[in-house]
Amino acid sequence: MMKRILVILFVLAAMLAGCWDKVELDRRALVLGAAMDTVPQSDEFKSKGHVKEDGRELYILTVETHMAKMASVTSGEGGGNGGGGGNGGVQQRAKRLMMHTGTSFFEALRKMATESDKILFFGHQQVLIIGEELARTYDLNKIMDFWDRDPEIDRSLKVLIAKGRAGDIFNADPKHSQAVSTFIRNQSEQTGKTSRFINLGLVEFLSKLEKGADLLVGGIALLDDEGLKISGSAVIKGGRLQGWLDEMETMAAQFVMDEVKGGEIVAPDPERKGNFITAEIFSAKSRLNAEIQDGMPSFAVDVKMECGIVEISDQSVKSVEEKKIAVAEKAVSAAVEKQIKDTVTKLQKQYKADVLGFGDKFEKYHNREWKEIKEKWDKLYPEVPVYVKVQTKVRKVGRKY
Amino acid sequence: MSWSDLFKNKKSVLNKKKIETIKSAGGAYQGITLGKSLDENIKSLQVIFKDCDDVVFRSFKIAGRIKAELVFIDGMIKSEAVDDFIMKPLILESRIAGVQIENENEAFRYTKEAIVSTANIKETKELESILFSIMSGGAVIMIDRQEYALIVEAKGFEHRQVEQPTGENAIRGPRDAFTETLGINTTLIRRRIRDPRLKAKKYYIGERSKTEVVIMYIEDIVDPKLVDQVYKRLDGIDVDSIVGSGFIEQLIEDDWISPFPQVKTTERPDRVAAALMEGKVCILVDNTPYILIVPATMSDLLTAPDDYYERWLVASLIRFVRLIGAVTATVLPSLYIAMVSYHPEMIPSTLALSIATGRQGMPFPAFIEAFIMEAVFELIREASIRLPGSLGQTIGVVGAVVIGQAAVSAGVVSPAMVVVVALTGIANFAVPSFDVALSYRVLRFGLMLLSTVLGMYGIILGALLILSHLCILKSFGIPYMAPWIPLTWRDLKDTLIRSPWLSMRRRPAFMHTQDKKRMDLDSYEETLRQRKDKA
Repeated sequence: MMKRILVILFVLAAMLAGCWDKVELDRRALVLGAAMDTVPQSDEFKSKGHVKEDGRELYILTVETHMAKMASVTSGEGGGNGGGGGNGGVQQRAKRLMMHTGTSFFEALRKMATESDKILFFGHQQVLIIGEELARTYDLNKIMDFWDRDPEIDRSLKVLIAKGRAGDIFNADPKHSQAVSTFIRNQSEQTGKTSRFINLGLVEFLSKLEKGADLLVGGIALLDDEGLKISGSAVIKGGRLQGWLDEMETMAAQFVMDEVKGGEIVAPDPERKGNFITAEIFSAKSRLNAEIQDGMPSFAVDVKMECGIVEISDQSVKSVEEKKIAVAEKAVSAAVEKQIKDTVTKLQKQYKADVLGFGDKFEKYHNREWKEIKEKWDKLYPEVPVYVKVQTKVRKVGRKY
Repeated sequence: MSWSDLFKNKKSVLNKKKIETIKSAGGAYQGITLGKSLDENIKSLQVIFKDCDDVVFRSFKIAGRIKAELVFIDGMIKSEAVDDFIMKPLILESRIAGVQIENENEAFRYTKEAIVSTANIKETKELESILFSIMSGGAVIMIDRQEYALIVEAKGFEHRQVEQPTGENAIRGPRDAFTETLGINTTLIRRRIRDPRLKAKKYYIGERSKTEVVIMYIEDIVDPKLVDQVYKRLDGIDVDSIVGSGFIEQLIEDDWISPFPQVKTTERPDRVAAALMEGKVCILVDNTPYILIVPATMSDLLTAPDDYYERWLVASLIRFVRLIGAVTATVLPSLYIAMVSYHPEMIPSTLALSIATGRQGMPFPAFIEAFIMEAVFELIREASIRLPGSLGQTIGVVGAVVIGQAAVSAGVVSPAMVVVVALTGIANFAVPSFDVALSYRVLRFGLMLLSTVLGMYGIILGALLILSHLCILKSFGIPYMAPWIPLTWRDLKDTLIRSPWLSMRRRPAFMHTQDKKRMDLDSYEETLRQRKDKA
């Protein structure tokens, strides 16, 4: 009898206790990407009542949800409309976007909830885009808190900084992708391989920010024809955006950080004026050594690279002799060396941002000395000597030999 | 009333008394024997077989002089045999046989020894055994003034021939399957193991049906405790009738509440032979083409005959596929429900997107959708079994096309759900044992219910419950999960993978067999060496 009662209780408990957090997939709006911006002082936002009179609102949050295929279903979605209008396609896409202002991001999300029939779900977020202005005016540590705290967020999402307003990025044409965010996600995986871009995940981004380290974040820009360009990187120092590195500078920086996975190098041919040698990087290994020189820190970057010659801008050259290969190797090395040196100088002198982790390296290898210079590191950094040495090995010369 | 009846007036009174007792016996004829008078005996049988018009009473005279009676059931004997080997010799040829029959005693003796020329003939006076022989297809000869009757074995009823197996097909295996006739079945097994140590013990179970049950085992392989256990359980059965082997299975299994079958059933003689060689006990039941094999283990139930006929690498791969099928058939719909309703973050992003897009505007939540589709699937399956052959297949196709395609385009169910249900169904068919496939089906619904109310937590809870149940379940004293639990490394050779035969030179240890070796490896290595030397 007792057993029977227990069984009934168990069944009742199972039947009555569950379901509280059950939300069907079709009741959720999958957030694929989010963009954070500052609130612009334009009439557009005022007229829609997004900004209170006292100007308390700090951020605009734009989220892209998954595309609803059936037109009838989309009607429930959509809040403020960033740069919509125009033809039907844009209209359709704009409906996937929701935008709201808030003093905090969560507040903005809850405001969106009042305009949606679906629960916003962050478990499949692909990208997080930070607007340029926001990154310049606010400490990223402050902004990123929400994305660090929320347990629902997919930690593998990619972080990018937009050139211009982040929310506008979602107005791009996603081409064959389901959404702009998935397009960016795939594009960043792909572009990361050419070393022209920093493919940065949320976890790494947050941990670097938390340490107070300077870092590079991949950049994204909306082109005039609604295309997207992912390239270059943003220099973050002390949690704030300092400026940009272009594609080749980004590649040079990644040489130092030992993160080059591929890409190409175009070096001028020293023997034939006006011609170029193009090499494809197969693999690159680099070592950053921290040394002490006259009681001062100095750094040596040692890059060893294997590449293949893919183009020498002369169809008539049938064979690449050994001597010629040696010349090519030297030319490529010199080009990379120059690139790295220029970039390091730019980072030292112009941005004064230690994004390459020089200080970190010094701390690890010369801990006692680091304690002495730790306080003055900011002043020392722009002046430390950096020696660059690049060794190139050509492995393949293509079919014409 | 004839003269002889007048002469035996006193006996006639007794006779009536006896018939009264027979009438009131109500089927319990133990201890009642035949009398000396033929008429009395006929009368007794006629009382017993009142309203049984299929029982034939044939009066005749042996050698033209001595009164005798032949009793049999129409259709259960071979009539040519009775005509040629009983009636003809007794009536006509007894004189030719060169024997002089003077009186009834001689008639009885000569009938048994010289005239009736069938192999199997017995004499008895027990009414009960006479009745039993008649019921099971014997012809009974009663001779006047003899209190013993002769039972001639002339069984010959209509039966099905050995045909191809219907449920357990194998590509490389033999194509014969058991039939409803016990004799044929034992022969099929005997033909595979020609060893006098293969025992076939006969049992009669069922108070009324008296169903013949044969227990087969190989004396010096099987664990004697297992045989004892089987006898004990069969002895414990006290029912009026056994209609099929399923009755016996359910009456002797360890745990009747468990969803898992603890007895393996098969219609293939090669599987029975293999099981016997592993030290198992087989129970053959008359009128059932399915033979019971005890004990059964989980890994045993997931094997198919082809595992052993194919080469080991292929067989192992197929086993993996089958295991995946078994797991899929049990958990896939519940996983789908849990992921879609509770844990969308567990689905890969792109898949989540397409499921979410597909589920836009669906009228039912995922779990109701799943239950509906599973119910429809079960309906189609059940309907196709009931319908006659060719029509059954049509229903399958029509059902799949109509329900799948139309339901999706009508927006009743999402396409992903159709995929899940179809996958589950196919996976279920990959499970080789129909009984286990059934139990997976039952568990599937249980898990679906759990995942509906508790999500992934429910599935894990359910899986734990099932696993812990499997771990304590035993079949005839052998752990159901053997050789995994308790773990016997050596026996794992024939579980997930089917090792090459050469590495399986011992019988499974968990069967506690007396003869532990399958093959003598030393002599094999010797032949190998010789072969190498020659090359």
